[in-house]
Amino acid sequence: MLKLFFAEWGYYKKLTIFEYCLYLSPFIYLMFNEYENYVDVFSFMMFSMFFFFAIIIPIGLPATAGEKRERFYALLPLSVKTIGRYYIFCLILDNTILFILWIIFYLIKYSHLEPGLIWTMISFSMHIYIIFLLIAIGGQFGSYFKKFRGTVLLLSIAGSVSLFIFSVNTIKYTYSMMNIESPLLKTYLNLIKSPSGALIMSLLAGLMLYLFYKLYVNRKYYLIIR
Amino acid sequence: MTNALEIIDVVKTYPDFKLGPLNLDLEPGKVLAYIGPNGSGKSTTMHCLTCLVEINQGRMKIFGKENKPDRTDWRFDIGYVGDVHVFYEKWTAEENLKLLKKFYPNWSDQLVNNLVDRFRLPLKKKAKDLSSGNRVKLSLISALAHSPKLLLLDEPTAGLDPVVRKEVLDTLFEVLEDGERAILYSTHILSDINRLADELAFLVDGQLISHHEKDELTENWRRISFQLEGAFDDINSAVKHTSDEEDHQVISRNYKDTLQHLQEIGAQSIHKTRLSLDEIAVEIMKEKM
Repeated sequence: MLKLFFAEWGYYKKLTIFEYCLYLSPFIYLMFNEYENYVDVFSFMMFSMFFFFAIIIPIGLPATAGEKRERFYALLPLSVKTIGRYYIFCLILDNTILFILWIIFYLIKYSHLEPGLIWTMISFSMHIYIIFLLIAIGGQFGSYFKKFRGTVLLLSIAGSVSLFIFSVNTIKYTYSMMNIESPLLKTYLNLIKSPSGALIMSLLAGLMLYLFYKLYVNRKYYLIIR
Repeated sequence: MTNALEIIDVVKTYPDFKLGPLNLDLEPGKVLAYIGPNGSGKSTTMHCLTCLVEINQGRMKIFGKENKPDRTDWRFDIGYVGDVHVFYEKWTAEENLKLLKKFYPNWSDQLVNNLVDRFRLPLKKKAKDLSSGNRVKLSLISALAHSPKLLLLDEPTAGLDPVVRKEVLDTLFEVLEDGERAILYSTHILSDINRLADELAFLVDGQLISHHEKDELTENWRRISFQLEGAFDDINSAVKHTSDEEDHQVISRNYKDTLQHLQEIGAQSIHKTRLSLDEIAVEIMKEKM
């Protein structure tokens, strides 16, 4: 798996550097700008994530378009499970680096204001993970239900965007703490601020990752010709 | 002795096509020409063998090892050149070969260098800039460099112009003539593999219609011309019969049987001529189409 990773790393060097510059740019921007409250930071974080994917996906996809990489993998002496693990490894690596950067940033800039908010930070990082994995799972489901591939992917993107909007609005409520009448929302807000909330969100993200892995590995075969 | 390849009752179904049930064996060191018209299921067989697609039924073994997608042991024993030649397009041919080398303990730089020289492959060119012929050459080198015991070649020269095709095939056959590898070579142009083939298997509409030793075919099939007056019934072992008044011509799948029958019915001026493998292949496939 590592052989494949380093090979791909070498191949996508320019794209990877560009990707990490994109990762770092909002981080650096925030480091050198004072924000009045962490709510704006969270919103900015989520926005930058979506901004990142909005840029990297259209750039990344044509970079491999027509290369039929999976067919190439199929010729290597690697099992389908190894290929599946490789994808998961890349997914974790890419996103975890981003989350770690944000958490470090948070600790440096805002932890002195309210140390407990690290749990909210982790909770929302996991939200992002869940959103991303939902889209990935939608893509995998698409390969099972070829006829409804577009519908499945669109539904998963729509679900993810809804979750994103819900999360951002919730953060705003968390900050303002005003006029919260929904018991469900109140429970949710209390949950995400606590260590147990961060743990639950992490477990949920882990579950999503596991589901994605199982879906990928259970494809069993590399491509469907017709 | 363990067969290089065993295909046992394999079925692969698509909405508009069914391959099999397919049964096929190949002994180590033998070359099997897998012949069929376009759309007969040759590439599907190859895709099944390399686990590019899931089979619906049956089993396949490569040197006794079942070719399951989660196992890797059988993959070291095969070299595959498919109908599509896939590479890291922005890397040079050399970089692509270097990558593959990392995955195969048996990789031979000496063999690669030898093949690169013989094929005159421009190693420093990016894969995306290689001509169709050079892409085939790179695929062949990639498939051969780890010295696989079984080579799966799926119409490797499809789409090449005749000059390049001949150049690729001549060099390939020089390399393969040592007889150390079992080869499954799918093609619809029999003359491509005529020189190397030990056995021929014919596939039509997903069904294996015939599997013979090459010598058996060339020894038994003949074009026989004769003269005979009056009406007569079907001639034994004849697959095709044309006539012009009392001059007749038949293609026989067993000329001895046909000759005996012709003598019995009083045919005159009997002449027999050998058929080329291409002609035999056409007749076998036409019979079932």
